[in-house]
Amino acid sequence: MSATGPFEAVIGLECHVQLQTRSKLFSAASTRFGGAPNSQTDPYTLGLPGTLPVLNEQAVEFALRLGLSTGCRIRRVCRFARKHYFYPDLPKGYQISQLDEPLCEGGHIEFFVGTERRRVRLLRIHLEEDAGKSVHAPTGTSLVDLNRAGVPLVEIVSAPELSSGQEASEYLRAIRRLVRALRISDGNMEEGSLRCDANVSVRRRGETALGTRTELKNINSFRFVQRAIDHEVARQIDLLSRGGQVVQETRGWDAERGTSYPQRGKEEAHDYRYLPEPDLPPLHIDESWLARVRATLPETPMARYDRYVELGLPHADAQLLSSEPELGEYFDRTLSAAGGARAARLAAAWIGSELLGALHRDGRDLPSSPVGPEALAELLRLILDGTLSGKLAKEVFARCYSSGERPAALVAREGLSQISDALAIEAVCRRVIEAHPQQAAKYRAGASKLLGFFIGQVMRETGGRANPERVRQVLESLLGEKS
Amino acid sequence: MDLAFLSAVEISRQVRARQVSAVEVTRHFLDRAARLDARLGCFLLLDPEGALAQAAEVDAACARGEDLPLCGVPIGIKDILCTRGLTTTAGSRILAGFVPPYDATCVERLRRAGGVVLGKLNLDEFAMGSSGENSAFGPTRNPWDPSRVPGGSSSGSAAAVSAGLCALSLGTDTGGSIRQPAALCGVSGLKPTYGRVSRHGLIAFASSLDQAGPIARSAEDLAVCLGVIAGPDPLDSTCLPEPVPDYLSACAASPAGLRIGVPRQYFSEGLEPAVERCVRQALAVLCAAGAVAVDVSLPLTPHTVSTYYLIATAEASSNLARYDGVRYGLRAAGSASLTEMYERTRAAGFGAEVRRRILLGTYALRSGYYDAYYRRASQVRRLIRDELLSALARCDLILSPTTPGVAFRLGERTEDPLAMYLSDIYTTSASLAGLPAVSIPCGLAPPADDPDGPLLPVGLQLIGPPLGESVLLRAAAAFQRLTDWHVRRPPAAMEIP
Amino acid sequence: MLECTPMRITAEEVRITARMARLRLEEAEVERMTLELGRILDYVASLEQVDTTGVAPLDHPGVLTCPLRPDEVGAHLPQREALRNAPLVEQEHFAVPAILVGLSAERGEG
Repeated sequence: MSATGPFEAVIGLECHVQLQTRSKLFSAASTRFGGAPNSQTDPYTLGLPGTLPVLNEQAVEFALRLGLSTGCRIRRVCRFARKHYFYPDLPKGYQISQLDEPLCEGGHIEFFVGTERRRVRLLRIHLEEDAGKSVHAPTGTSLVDLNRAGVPLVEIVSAPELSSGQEASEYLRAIRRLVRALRISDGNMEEGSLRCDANVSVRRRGETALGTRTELKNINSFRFVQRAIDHEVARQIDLLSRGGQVVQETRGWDAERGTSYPQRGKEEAHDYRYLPEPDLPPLHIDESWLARVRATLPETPMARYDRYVELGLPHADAQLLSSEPELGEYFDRTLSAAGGARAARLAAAWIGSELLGALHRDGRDLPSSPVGPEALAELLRLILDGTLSGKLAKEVFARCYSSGERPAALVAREGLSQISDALAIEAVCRRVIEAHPQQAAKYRAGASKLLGFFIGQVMRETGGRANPERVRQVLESLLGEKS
Repeated sequence: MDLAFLSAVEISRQVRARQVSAVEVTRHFLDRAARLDARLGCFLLLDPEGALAQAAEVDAACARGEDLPLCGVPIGIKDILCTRGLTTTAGSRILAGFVPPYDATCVERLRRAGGVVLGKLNLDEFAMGSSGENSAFGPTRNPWDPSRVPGGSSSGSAAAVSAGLCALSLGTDTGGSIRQPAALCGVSGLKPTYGRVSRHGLIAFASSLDQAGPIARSAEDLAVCLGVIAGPDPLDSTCLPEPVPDYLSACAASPAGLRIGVPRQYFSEGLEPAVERCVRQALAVLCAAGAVAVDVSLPLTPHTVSTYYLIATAEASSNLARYDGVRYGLRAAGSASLTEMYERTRAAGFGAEVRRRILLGTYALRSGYYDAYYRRASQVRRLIRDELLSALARCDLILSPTTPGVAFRLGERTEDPLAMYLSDIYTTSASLAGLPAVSIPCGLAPPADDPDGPLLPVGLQLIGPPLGESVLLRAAAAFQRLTDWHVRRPPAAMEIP
Repeated sequence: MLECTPMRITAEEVRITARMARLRLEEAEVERMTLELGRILDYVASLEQVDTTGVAPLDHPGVLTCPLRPDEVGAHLPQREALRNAPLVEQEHFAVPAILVGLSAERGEG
């Protein structure tokens, strides 16, 4: 942390997550991404006069999933409010959001920075509608597409408890993992279904009051979040170190030039003139609804991580397997088919290296893997019961991956099983020792490194099918016998 | 046979009985409107083609034996209710030429009930006004005296029914916009309980106050129309789920035993004596028929207009933010920047009263002023509602004048917005409380400033408890059985055949 | 009477409010609005006399519980219909004078 010297950074993030409902937050227009411009609208989306909002139940339920899984207090009665500003892609001149009585308050997000576990408190999670998109045309006009207008968003506001760009970026990744695990959003930053603004200030270490903050907007990739925040922290420290002052302002991030620029100062700061939304009565969340959501809540990535660590997985494997719901589910299915906890470390290692390696090499995703969890479990069982050596197993895996054949069938058909029969191994070992008297003598004279040579010879004789551990034991005892 | 002044119930009966066809009725009214409306300015748009096509469908339905409650009834729609494929302007330049792709729920229900939509009726711009003079497309005139205002904001809706240009109309009421013009034009108008009629398709002025409702020539017609347009709508989250009772049968009940609350604060300073006389006579008529007067007190009455204007303008400033020249309506030409386009479009598109209210409402919502103005008004609103509800716990309905005076002259109050606002003194409390209220004709009186002037209609207001439309209609229909004020027509000048 | 009451709102406040509401006011209108709004604000100041201690604001006079809609896709406006009432259309979009860089910060999302 010496990079910030006598200063420390105080960072809070506001994340907007698009909820993957079929229809919009307040109307039945489709939320489909990528249609022709202005083709996913209805009178409400266009803000036509006389249209009224009607709340999408699924969007509320998705927000409840998020709130419950982050330990928020869920308001039994929450309210909507209008937030006013003029912008061409905001059809009504206001956005329906929540102000004083949001759906969720409190709660926290947990994530790792390296191997250190961090917990950042949340101030609130609320529901609101998205705006459309404007693009600048070379003709000197701006063009407005309202397909995105009205798509449901949750806004997740963290407490100002992050202290670096890296932490902020890890926090954001944790949100992505979480919303994907909850199956409420694809968390795709490139397509804008996860967006992030950062409030950044610095202060001298030991001080408790917050410094003047700036708001960074338009930081729309994990990498940019880290770079933009670190850049802003450095800029503020530089200002303060030279006796200057930070101006409260909104700054945009120019990813191409790797620098930020002021967007508007405090004197133009917006007065959103919030108004209780008269078109939507208070939203009541009853206990039975909450209980239903709670009962069907998918496992969070952190809970999955903890479960995997308890199974004995190393940190890195547990983190990897809890990062994506498909991965964790693949692992869980593999494990239950392979006979449970005793296969855990082996399964994690195989998924992490062989399986993901092969999929990555071929540009495939997990659901389209030619080796499914049951097949992999079969392979693991063959390893665990000694039928296959590690080396053989890799070969079997590779062949199954390309042919789609099941491991047990392949091994049986080609007689690939490992030779564990003590007598059979002993016979080969005796033959090898007899064929190499000189090396045997040297070994007996103390050149114990030669044991490897003998193991190699035996493996060659058996086509790699001998259990190497057995071979070692037998060779040691045979070579020792005659000394 | 004089179709023009038949009740909607009677027209519907005759069309159903095939004594007259819907097409004949529609032609008759279209002709009348074409002949007479140039002097009155009720219609912003007549739709002869659409109306005749619809009438032909109604006749076909009748021939099939379908039983439609508003069979062939010619209806005018306040131009703040969206009509599919028919220009809808809200009386504003900013919406000039706007063609909605959908019907307001209440309009759609009228059509399905056999109503024939003749066209769109004039109004104060965005329903902001009490005189009909704030329409961007010219004022509407009072059929009883064309030098006087018809009231507002449902100016065209009241004047058209009064002049026999349609049998029934839809208005909207935010602070009295159905009741006040109905009173000044000598017709009956009902503002339903907030949420009784869907607001889907009603161009919002103040969302927590706006309600659409019928204007007609009798309580029975109001009952039939309300029965058609009321009821739950999945497109309006504030629409009440309660089933719709049979309002027409409520009209048949006797007024005997009704407890009628008379708020002493409503009969005080500012009320023209001639108006007070008419209203007190009306009370006497009802009491003679077995109703009982009960003294009630509404001490917050002096605060209702302030409360109403703060809340209504704050919501209006929000609702009117969407008129920005981007997706529909007017756009001022030749703006170099986006901000300039917004500012010039909105300055050119909105009239003076709308601009004034947007400014007031924006101011009341600004951080730093919100608590003193908007929030405080919302708190007083609750107190006003509680006060009305406790008064209504002691009686079945509250009786009052609808307005302090009769119709005033065009131009008389346009220079003094506050004086104009104060004429809403009796109507705003029911709006703030979300209660149903009806205005029915109860007499004729000369203007206070011209005792020898023309006799002009006086309105009687009845306010009921939440969802108490039936009790209002029961009292109103009883009164109309005992009196003939509601069948009086504007002077012969308007009767050019 | 106007002379004896301190004005509730200054011309500058009217200008700021008008900018906020995106309403261009001519100077003469600023003056008139200042006067009229001042009188209205004077009038509504009577609300200060009402004791509102502990009174919850009344925002919804009717329905008390927000109804919910099942997550189903309904009818769309075809693109042609959506753009039909627009003052200016370019390349299937609503077209407006260029949004300046920096103005983009005015969007909410805060």
